[in-house]
Amino acid sequence: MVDSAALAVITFQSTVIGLVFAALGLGFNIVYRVSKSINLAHPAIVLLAVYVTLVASSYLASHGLASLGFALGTLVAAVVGFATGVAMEITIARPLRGRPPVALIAATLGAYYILKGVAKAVARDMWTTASYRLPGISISLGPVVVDATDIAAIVLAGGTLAALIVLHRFTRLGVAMRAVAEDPYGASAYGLPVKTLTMLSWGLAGLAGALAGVALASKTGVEPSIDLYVLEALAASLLAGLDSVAGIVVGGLALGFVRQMSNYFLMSWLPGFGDAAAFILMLLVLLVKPYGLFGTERIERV
Amino acid sequence: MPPLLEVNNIEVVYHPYILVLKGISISVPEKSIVAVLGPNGAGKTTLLKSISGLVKLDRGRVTRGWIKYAGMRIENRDPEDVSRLGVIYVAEGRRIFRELTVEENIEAVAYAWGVLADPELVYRYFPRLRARRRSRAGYLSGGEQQMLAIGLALLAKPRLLMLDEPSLGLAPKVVHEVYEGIKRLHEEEGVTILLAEQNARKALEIADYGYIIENGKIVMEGPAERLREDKDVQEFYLGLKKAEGGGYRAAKWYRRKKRWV
Ligand SMILES: Nc1ncnc2c1ncn2[C@@H]1O[C@H](COP(=O)(O)OP(=O)(O)OP(=O)(O)O)[C@@H](O)[C@H]1O
Ligand SMILES: [Mg+2]
Repeated sequence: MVDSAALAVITFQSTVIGLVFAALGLGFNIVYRVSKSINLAHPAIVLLAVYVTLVASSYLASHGLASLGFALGTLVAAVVGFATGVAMEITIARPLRGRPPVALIAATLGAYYILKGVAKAVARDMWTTASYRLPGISISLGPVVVDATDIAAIVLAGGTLAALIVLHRFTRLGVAMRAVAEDPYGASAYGLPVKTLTMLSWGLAGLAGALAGVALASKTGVEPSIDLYVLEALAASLLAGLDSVAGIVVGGLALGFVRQMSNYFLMSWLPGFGDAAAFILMLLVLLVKPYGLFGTERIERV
Repeated sequence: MPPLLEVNNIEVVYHPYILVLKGISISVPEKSIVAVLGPNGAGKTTLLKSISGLVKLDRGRVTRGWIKYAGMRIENRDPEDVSRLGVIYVAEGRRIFRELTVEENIEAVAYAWGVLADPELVYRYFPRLRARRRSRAGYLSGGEQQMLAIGLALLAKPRLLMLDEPSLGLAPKVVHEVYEGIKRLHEEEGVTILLAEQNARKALEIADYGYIIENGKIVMEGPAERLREDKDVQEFYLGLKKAEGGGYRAAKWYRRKKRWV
């Protein structure tokens, strides 16, 4: 029924999409760790970044910088993503610190609509479907054809994941951020700059969302409903465990594979089932491991 | 010379209207060890947290009186700012980063203090931790966790170190080891110590001066040796022989005793 060439292509595409999902979900995990809340505005940060890149790169193209347009546009989006994350921490997360998590969740829902409005305002007459202008390269690896959209997605999503995971696990700054995530109260008693590190975490989550968004839009094209993919990526976060940072890679890849495979194999009788399959997988995992695959079950007092 | 820390008649209220400290004054001279003793719920922790500013994070605040440290008013300041001034609070219940290894705990706190922090300091006073460097702190024994908690505070080169019930839940032998470390770092680092304890015997062994608080008020104070000699203190805090005689005093203490248990 399946020939090996098709399988190779699906495997490759699943991996690319999986990496993108992982990078999209990363922002949820980073915010959850420091603020114990799901940032429902994350999809809007992604949306905003996607359109910022589109607008910036077309602006640059109209000024004779077409070849640099995409790269510079991505850079602008990264800055916007970081700044948005920081702004959310200052205006929403900080005042609500110490309140029940639902308060923050509700506030981020409000921020979602505000940021979506900002994205529309930034896009103006470009608030439609479009695609980034990428060079027309393509490389054949056996049956698999890798084109510029794949390369952009892999580099942006993979690079974001690698950079943030390394920062988190292996640098002093990362260790300090983990300490603040575990116990902000204790951390401030020991003099850790809790406010700055919390703000930085939100900023990095926004940055990751922006870069992942551009990776996603390279593949799927730019569209006003692109934020729905980010909700799907939330499944990858929950699957991995919301407080695990490195686990998100496994969560994302699992989501990518299940989604692509079930879309491919179920296409003929259950079209569009792929998205649902991802959530069914998530539910099954959460039934067995309520904290997700890599979520820490807190060490209780010995 | 004015004391390093002066707490003057403070009132502390938790949100919304829970009055916990009802006019407390203490004074901590530089290079001394001062003990704050008292039963469960007396307000020892609240006092220490009011000084460190952490009471803010519990939605509490100093509503009357003032706190002066090294000549500066510090009541109701942010805990981060207060710690920058050299006032470090080691919370009760061994507050360490359980998910991180011992080494990572040290690294995280050292990050905050940059070149100032010398990781070796932790191992110098609590050599036992060296062998446990790579274990997750959550899996250390209670004593080791307490040692790590105090060690982390040392990284900040504190001028005033506030320890909240370092003996809580530890076996007597381990308490002894922890207190040896405290005594040594007091002598060798010249750090001033404010110690909250229910274990009055242990605290009065190393303290110069002590305050006893009950129900948010100071009920007795004096040099450590005088408190050690005091009959009421002996009976109710040191668990020695019953104070002789009966009368008013015994009846009053009896009522108090009933309240604590
Ligand atoms: N965040 C808070 N909100 C309201 N009340 C509080 C809060 N924290 C403590 N209290 C109350 O303040 C009083 C003093 O508590 P505190 O923790 O300071 O006592 P303590 O002397 O440290 O006791 P222990 O020896 O048990 O540690 C208690 O009655 C407690 O219930
Ligand atoms: Mg206490």
